Amino acid sequence: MEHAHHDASKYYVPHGTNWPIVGSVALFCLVGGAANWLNGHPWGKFVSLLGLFLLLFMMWGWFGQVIRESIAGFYNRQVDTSFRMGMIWFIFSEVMFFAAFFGALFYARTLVVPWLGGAGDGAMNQVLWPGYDATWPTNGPGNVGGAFETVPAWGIPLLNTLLLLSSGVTITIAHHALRAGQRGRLLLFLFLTILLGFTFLGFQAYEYMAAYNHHNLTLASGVYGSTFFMLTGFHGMHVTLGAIMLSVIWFRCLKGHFSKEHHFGFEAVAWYWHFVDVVWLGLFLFVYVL
Amino acid sequence: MALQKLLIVVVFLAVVYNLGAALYYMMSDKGQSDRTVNSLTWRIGLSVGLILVICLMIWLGLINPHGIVVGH
Repeated sequence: MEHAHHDASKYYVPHGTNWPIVGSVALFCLVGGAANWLNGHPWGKFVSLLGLFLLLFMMWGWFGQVIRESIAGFYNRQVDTSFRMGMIWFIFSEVMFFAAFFGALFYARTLVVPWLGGAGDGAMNQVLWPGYDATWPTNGPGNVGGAFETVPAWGIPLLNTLLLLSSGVTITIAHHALRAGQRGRLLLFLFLTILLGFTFLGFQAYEYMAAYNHHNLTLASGVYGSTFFMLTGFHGMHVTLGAIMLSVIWFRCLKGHFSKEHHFGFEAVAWYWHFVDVVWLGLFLFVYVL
Repeated sequence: MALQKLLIVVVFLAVVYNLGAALYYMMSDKGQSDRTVNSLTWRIGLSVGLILVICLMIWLGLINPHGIVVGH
């Protein structure tokens, strides 16, 4: 394989790797453990934590391997194209993922809840829940999870929106700096982006604690509680992943891995950060404001 | 109320459009042009503008975010 990278017509065939199976086991433990933890099995916590450490181990190993191969010049134009195709499919799956959860929110909010409240021919209201007065947000006619309050948009959600938008501004400045070849500015504004990202996560954790302890808004608070925590929770996981990837990219910038013309790693992660930012904007608009 | 909400949704769609355009330019230009970063600049500029307008609308009482309600 040593000579293959000089020939643009030959495809670089990677050696065998164990990282995909390590990643699969890690995700299985992380999510399976978390699901059991939420359902009251104490061992779930440990399985979930094991999954998290395995996942971080995989990121360290897999990222490192790809970076070393890239620096060694193994990747020709065909590999470059396949990286970009990989990014496209990854984003497609991400869009579908969030579309499903936003879809669930819209379906519940604009169709199911009004039906239960007597919209249409009123049959569902009369047969299933007579006297149910449909409002949004709601935990449904069964009052699942007990009375709750929503988190007011004017407080931490707005602050978090401003934090994420600021991080969008700083990463755009970093992006312009990279294109202009201004290394110092690139490193500074990329660092600020990471800092803003982790600050957002801190406030989000605080908001969750307030929701559970003061508003009685939990994952079990009917359809509003479950859609609220699924959407904001998965978004938070994406911010976490984005911040980790930005940190890796920061060290790569420090080591001078990117140039004005060759910086797909930077551009893909920067775009991902913008994507996560837009998802939040949608969340803020449709969950908190509109 | 409907008009304010329509305005918010239209600007949000413009944000999504610019994000999509940036993805397209990232794939087609392969880092050789400024089209990606320019689209992303539009997308963040519009987003910041949108949030500022929303803050102003809430401030002026033109839209009402979800109040503290619920649990019948």
